[in-house]
Amino acid sequence: MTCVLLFDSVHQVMRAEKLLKKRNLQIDLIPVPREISSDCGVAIELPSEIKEEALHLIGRGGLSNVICYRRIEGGSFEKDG
Amino acid sequence: MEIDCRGKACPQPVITAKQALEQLKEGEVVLVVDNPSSSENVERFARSQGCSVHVVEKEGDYYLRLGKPRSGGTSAFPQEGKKARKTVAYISSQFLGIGDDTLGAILMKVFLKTLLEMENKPNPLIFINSGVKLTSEGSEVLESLRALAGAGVEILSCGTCLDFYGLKEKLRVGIVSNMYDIARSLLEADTIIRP
Repeated sequence: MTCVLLFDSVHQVMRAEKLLKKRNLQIDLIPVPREISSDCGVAIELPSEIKEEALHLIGRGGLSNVICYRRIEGGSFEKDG
Repeated sequence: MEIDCRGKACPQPVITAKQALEQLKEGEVVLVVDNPSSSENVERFARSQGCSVHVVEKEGDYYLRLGKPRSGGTSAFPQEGKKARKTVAYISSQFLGIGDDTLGAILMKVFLKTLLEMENKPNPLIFINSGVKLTSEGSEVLESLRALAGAGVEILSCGTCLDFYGLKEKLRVGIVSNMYDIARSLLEADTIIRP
């Protein structure tokens, strides 16, 4: 299973991507799924197993206001936490 | 009739094939080329014109027997009544849009992912100049491009450009194409999108 992280702006997505890639975490940039909306059109998708680690790194990097969704089977999304 | 195109650089063999097929009223012509990409390019061209193609490899050379369809000229080759609109994506940079390159790289990634979800996909995707970095080793969009290829989208990378960037041996998705094929695709398109 994967989760999708939404940020307030593309600058934050870029900062988060950098932070996570530095730790070699397997993440992917995706267009924000149409079912979800946010101010920014780009989101980060990652395997659920590394979600906590990723959120920790992102938080330590000073990025707040991250919204997390779980991708559930059938392609829909569910707000997570 | 046999035409020797050995030693001729791309896209000359394709141009020669086109001229030969135009002159030919009916029957077959054999074209000889000395490398696999010329062979593939000529084959693709001939098939696009409705010709039958039979390739035999002999001592490193390729003999392509091109059979012209019976009913008149190449352009008269029967086309189904309703032709789908042809949309071509011409991707001339590894970045989407002009401005910040980090942003451009992200936008390109997201654009290609979004195409996957579209019902009417552009076909082919043409990669030219630094666009060929997207189809080569180390690209972060290979997965999306492979999925597009799996959905029937042709992925064409400019051979000259691959060569220029030292990526000739590193193409990881789609095929090496040439200016002849690229120009033809652009001219035949109803719509060209330039992300």
